[in-house]
Amino acid sequence: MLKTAETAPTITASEAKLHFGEILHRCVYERTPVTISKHNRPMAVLVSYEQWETDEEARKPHPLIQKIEAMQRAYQKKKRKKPHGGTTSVVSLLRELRDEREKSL
Amino acid sequence: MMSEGVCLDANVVLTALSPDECTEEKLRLFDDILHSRNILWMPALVNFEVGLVLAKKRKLHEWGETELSIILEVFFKLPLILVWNKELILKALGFQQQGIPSFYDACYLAMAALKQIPLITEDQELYKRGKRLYPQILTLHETL
Repeated sequence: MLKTAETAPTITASEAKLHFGEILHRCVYERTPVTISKHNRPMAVLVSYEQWETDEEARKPHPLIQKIEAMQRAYQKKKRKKPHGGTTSVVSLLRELRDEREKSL
Repeated sequence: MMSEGVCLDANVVLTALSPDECTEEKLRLFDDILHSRNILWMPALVNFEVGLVLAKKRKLHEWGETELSIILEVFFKLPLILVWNKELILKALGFQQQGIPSFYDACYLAMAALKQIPLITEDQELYKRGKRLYPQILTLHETL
């Protein structure tokens, strides 16, 4: 399991300069991110490239979400060009559908 | 909360896929579900409800072929397990007798109760009546 930035050990910027090789080794081979602080404030987190790539991938929206977002943008553009009035809420459409079905029983 | 899966009411799925009603928070919920590979447990009647809403939206000229096609494509790629069996129907009938507004609503509640997972709905009536029978019924806001 990779360690997260929240659990990463903290060292000062001066220590980082002095022991950079050792810190890099820990990040890459022990998969331990290291937080670097300056004046008692966390300034940066050093993580392995592999972990950074994984984190980047996880931050990207899922391809299906990207597809929905693209459809929404195209729809809004189309609507701006050709406004066709309001839309019916899906929640109320389904409520009506369920109530109608119930009445028909 | 959603490690064992979640049951989504059709209104949550359809508004999240809708080109005109989707909000950032709905997309975030779906993104979390897709990234975590959570299973979406639903009564099989969701297929029928999705089909009817799409038909109605097309009839009203609110959604065109492009939107319908993308909504269906995404819907069928969701990690869904559709259930329709004796236990689900009996549980739904039981909930209906206890005051759930319709059999359809009761089926979603029954699905969640059988799997002991949260049910997320956008329907206020179902939420209000369902809460006392199954406390794991949530609004979208409560899940975020």
